[in-house]
Amino acid sequence: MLKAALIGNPNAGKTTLFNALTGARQRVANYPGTTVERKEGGFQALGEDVALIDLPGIYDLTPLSPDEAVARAALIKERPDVIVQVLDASNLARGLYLTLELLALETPLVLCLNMLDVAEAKGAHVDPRALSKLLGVPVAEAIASKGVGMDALKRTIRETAKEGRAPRARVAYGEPLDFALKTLQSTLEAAPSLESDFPASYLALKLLEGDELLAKAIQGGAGYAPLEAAFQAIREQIGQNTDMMLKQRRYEKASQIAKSVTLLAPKPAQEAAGDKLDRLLLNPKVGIPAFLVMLFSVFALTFLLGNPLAEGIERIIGVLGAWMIGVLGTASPLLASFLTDGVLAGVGAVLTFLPQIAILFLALVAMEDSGAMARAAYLLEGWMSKLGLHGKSVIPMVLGFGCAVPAIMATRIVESRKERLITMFVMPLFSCSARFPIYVLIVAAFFPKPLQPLALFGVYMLGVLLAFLIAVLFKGAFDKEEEGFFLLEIPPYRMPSKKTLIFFTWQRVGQFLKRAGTIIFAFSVLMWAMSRFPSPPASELAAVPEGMRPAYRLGYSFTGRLAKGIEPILEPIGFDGRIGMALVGATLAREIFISQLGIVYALDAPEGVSPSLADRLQKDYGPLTGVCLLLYFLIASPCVSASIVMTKESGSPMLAFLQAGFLFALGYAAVFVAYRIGLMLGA
Amino acid sequence: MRKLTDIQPGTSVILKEVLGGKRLQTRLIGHGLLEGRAFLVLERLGQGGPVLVEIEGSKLAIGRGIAEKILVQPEEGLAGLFG
Repeated sequence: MLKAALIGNPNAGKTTLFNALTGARQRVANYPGTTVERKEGGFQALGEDVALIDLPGIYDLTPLSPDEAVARAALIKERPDVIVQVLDASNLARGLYLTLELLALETPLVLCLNMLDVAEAKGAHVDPRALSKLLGVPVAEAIASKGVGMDALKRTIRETAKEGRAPRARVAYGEPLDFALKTLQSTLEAAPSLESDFPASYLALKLLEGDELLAKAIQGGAGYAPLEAAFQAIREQIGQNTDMMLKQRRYEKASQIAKSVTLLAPKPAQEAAGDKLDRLLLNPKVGIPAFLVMLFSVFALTFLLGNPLAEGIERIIGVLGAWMIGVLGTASPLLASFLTDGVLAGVGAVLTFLPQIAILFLALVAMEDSGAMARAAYLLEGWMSKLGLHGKSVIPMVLGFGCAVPAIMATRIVESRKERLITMFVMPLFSCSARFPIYVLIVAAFFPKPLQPLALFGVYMLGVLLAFLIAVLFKGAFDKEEEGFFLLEIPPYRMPSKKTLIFFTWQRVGQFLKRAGTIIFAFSVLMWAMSRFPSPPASELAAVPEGMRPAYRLGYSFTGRLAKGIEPILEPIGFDGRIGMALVGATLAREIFISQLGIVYALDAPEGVSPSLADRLQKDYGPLTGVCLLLYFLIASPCVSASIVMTKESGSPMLAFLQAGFLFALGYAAVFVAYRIGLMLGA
Repeated sequence: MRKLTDIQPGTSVILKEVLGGKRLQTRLIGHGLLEGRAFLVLERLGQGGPVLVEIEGSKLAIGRGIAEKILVQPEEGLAGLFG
């Protein structure tokens, strides 16, 4: 099997290209020997399998973060047969700056000239043949967002990998830099004991660029002395500033090449539509409210569009349950209970929220893909830096509305450790999609219909507000370090392509379904068994009046006893045993709260009656309980997966532990206060 | 020479010097911000917010901390110099 590595600038369309090339054949894996994640996939070209690894979006191969160091090391150590670089045709010089560095790696290289449509719209026509001739590497044209050019690109990748010919073109940096490079290279070649995984020409280049990581890797080895001497001589002759000189020359070269292969149409007199829009939206007075309205619309949409669909699913599940009881009810009551009260009530209750989840993720993908998220980061940066956060923190935070796990990993784009740790610390306050169905359920049960979207939005915003407050308070607790810098490209507006939207949304919906089918299913079965057994002896049950029997059974069961046990903790915050049972389940996975409520109500119900969960809640509890539950899940509910990722990413189990403990205490206190105030007001 | 943060939006400038360390310089070069390059200042946000510039047809937001370390010269000034 051939192996290819995909590399490119951020915003060059690398992820889109990766998806277009590999389709469903992809998985997330770790870099060998690390916890840094990456995507792997594959495709077939001319009957041959090609494995494709996705590297993070970078501007050059100078690793400034641990992530980039791991990626570069992988690029060399795993010896891909070919490196595939995505170039944004509308922004060629920046891409070529990376290309010119890749040339020195002595690995076969394929360039994929992407976003040709964007370039043409900007009035730039890039000549792929001229580019190929200048650099001596194959160039394939593509519009990855529309799947254009994929077959030809696959064939080119395969052929280049098969031939195994490394590009021979080298950047001429001019004298005396070229002479210095040659001297270093021959010194390195003369000292084979110094050999690292990198080819000597690349090593010479990066050493002269002051690459500390590589310098450290070879320092002290036998044969290091002549290298040191060569370095000394170079510094005396051309000065200390060789690093920046090399990078500047390389950029200038890249810029020259870009100019020479691009045909520019005369600039249109009319301002581009995107620029016009930006002049309006990049004004904070318009842009920040617009961002909030957009977020609100997302939540309103989940209700307006999602609820009718969810009711449809609920009805189907109801019909299915009635059918099962009809078929099995008399023959095997226990099996019927297992299937209807356990599986259907548990997994079904969670599955009901599938439409809302799909809409939420669709909106998140659209926001990221359209360029809206980068603009929000730009607008909020000033405020964020005052809070001890980073402008780029906005991006993982909005991702946190999906799931805290990828969001905590996405904090890697925040370049200072201090700001990164604070962002991670407050991440659980950005309500994830596991809590979303709980909110929807409670809001639907206790709030009047016209207020529902606003209530849901309010919960999310309260979380954001709390996160910011905690960030300010804890800003001093983290060590002061070098100031992180904010440098963010604002990509042009893009209509998210249907393909991308469907692909990512389906990926997330698939994960949700998988979770429902595995974890939620398993826990639902466990919860059902714990709520069904042990059964009270028949003699005891006979003494209970007919109507009270289901409740008596439930109280006798394992869950019932457990709930009784934790009642002293729950009583002060106004939760009863039934909610307690559901909260016990929710510590395993938050959705279990809904499953467990569904199960408890199903077991508690007189035969044949099954109104919706929201209706049952409304009958049994008041709005105060609703508010308390919302607060509890917003702040206090811990998530094991998030704590694990937090430990991994921060490198500090203590911080993860503190985070969980602090948030639980804060949440408990908040619910306590809300409950007492509510009681005083007579709610 | 003036700090990037002191430049009025709508002004075209030439980068003269970066007062930061090698890390910062490397990042800036990656975005095409090298000495002698011209770029356009599009917007300057209040509240310690970033400066938005346009370089080689793409928009780049530069945090206040960095912008203060970037010394530039307005292009108009140069035009005046050469008549």
